[in-house]
Amino acid sequence: MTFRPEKTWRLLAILLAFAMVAAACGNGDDDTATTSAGGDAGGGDAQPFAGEVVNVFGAFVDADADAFADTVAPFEAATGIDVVYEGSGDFETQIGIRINGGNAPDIAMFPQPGLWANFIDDMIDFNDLGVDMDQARADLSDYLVELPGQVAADTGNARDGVFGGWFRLNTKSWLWIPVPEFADAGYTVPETWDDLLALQDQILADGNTPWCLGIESAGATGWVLTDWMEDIVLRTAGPDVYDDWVSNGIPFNDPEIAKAAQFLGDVMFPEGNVLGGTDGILATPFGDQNTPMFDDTPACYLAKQAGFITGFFPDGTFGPGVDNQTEAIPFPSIDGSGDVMLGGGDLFGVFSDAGAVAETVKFLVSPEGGEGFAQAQAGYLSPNSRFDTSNYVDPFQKQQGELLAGALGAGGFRFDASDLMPAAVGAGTFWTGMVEYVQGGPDSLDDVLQSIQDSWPSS
Amino acid sequence: MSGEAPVLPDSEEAAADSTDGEGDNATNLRDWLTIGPIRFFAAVGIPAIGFMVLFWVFRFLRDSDANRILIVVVAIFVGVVGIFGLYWGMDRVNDQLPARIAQRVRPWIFVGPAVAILSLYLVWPAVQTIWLSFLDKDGEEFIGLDNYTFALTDDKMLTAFRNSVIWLILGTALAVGLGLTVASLVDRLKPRAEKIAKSIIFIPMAISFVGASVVWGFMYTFRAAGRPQIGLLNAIWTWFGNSPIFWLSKEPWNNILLIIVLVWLQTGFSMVILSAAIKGVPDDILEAGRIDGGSELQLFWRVVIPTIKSTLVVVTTTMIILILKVFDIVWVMTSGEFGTDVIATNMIRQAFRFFDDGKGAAIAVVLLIVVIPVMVLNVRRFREEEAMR
Repeated sequence: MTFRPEKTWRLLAILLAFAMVAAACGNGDDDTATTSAGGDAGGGDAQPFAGEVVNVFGAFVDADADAFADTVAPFEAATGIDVVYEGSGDFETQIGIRINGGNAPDIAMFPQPGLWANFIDDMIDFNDLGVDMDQARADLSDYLVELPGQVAADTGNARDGVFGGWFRLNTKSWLWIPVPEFADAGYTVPETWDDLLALQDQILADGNTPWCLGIESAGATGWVLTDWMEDIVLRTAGPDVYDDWVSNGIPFNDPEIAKAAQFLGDVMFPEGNVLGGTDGILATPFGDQNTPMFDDTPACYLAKQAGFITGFFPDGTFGPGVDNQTEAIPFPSIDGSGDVMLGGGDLFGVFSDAGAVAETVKFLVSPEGGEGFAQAQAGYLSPNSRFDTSNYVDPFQKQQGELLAGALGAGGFRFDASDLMPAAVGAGTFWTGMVEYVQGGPDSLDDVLQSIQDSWPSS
Repeated sequence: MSGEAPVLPDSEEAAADSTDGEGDNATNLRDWLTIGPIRFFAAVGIPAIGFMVLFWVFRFLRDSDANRILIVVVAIFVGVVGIFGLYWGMDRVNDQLPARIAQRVRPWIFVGPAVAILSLYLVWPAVQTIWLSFLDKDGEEFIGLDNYTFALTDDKMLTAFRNSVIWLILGTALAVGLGLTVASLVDRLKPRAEKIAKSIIFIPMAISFVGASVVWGFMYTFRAAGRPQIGLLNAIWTWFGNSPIFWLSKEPWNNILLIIVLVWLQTGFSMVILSAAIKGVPDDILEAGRIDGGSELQLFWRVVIPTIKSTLVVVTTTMIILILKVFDIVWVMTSGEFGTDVIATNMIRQAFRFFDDGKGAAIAVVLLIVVIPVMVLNVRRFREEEAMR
């Protein structure tokens, strides 16, 4: 076999083509490196960070994501930074994949501090970003200042420095009643737990169903009842016992916790007390829970759910410019419990120390950081004590803001316990345990609490 | 002239040898030394170049500010045409080589990259998963067999094993049994009617597991007594004067409700494969059986079943593997609540909800170990079937 000349040329030509492709690959790396390096050097005085992009990743989507764009708009105009928000309903899974895959966003907003603590080793210390930490601490209540570090320590992720900033809070301790039917039926707003139990009996005696309660939430089914438990523990046992419970300083089968679960049982288990009975509790999606209350004759007169539930109400039942068919009342106090409020919030961590990112962080922790959000979305409540409350444009938002401010000032605000506990409990056995409690009835309580305690990670 | 039996593993090699007509060892060694590196390049070099091109294009497109749709079009073009061009180009390079060498290298150009990529994406992650399963939740410290102790003793895992047995027995029996029944019954219809019947039963195959689970979730759904029942099952149930029941929460029967979804989805699959096998049963054997006075039922059990036995085994083992890995149906309909957990739901929960990489990996390995024997059986049967053709 011999090589013919023209064949050899063709072979060379094709090999050359491959070589050029390979060379192009090499160039690709160089190009990207220079673009990002060049960006830092450029820029004028008016917009010191013109053209720079800061990526923010969070769990809120749709209208909330639009509200975030509103809130950073003035900041973008002033600095030239392009803050790009990306929201995912699957945030809890995606964030781990992105960080572990070396593709971390610049800033990530975690709805669960426990999840935030998992990634603390990858985060940048706020002290290194030039944030005025004394001012930032003064703007927050002591509980909010200390909570992130406490969670990190409790989950075995303790690290020196400040790695979490609060962006927004929400409130959970609300009952919902139908208006005007509630008052028309002669019912009065319950101030205490005893009032509530008496009201239940009164509603039952009238042949009506007291409660709408639905906990179905796909893979997260159970959290509605953990919220109930938290609200009750916060009132029956107080904030200090609540903190011990969160860190497993007292076990899950402690009498204080069992007592709270029995209080919850007094709502769930009496015959006819909940629409659809225990099957109804398990089967009804949490977002549909309140809907029967809007029937012409309300199918139930009480429902408990966080402030954000208004987003799930049928159109034209609640909100600005609407003849409200329902109203929020504070969760009743128990045994004289004071200013307490259960809530949640977004804690953000920072994964880049670029100047534009530092600037964005400073803006987000400032009193102005949430103004646009508050105006656009009634669900936004600021953690910042200097926040201008005239930005709360919605009446229910004002109502929440007042109670939240009161509880924060009195040291009675507590973060959702299940979001602070180790994920195996807070997003696992606590949820499933509550489902088993509903299925098993009052007698199953001891076993349920014991099995939750047994599942607490040893480390 | 080589008088060896024609059982050489590489048929291509055999062909090449026979055309050349030379078989001494020195030539073989020289060939191996020259062709070996070329083969290696063909098998590993092509994917490497392909990856570099794709990676570069990916970087370029990711950082580009152009119109999204344009980017997608370019990406598809580069992905499809680029890879096609790569293979074509390599083939052309190969053509320039002496014919004898080119002939031996060519299969490596086309099959080699697939094997190399499979090893990278299948074997390596498997090895890493096994390694992870011996480490703690952060994948940092070695903790021996603790994760396996968990995987084999945890309450939810025991529930999962129990459910897997229920799934395997009922799911396989129903999907294969119904498929076989339908396949043999429609075989007796007129061609047109057979086509229609088979199409209808096959259609669910086109629906995703998640989609089917959502649909069936509505079938079983619950509304409080006195409110309109939108779920078919409760609508019928309450029509007889009963109060509605949240069926999916009733252990262990809820497992059967989930299995029905799988059967609905997969009966079409076993029907199509088995139907083809039944059509392959020689008519003269059936005729002979009829002449000998066998009833149709006897013919089915004594002629049809033995003839399609190997197909039946392949369909059954495929179904078993599918069922062992079942995840979507449970996750969408109950999330593993109410005692419906299966192995895969536990795995996902540990790895991605609780961020316990060690336990998640250990459960994955347990699943792998359970599937392997069935897989081996499946492949072996499949080979037998191929050999018979």
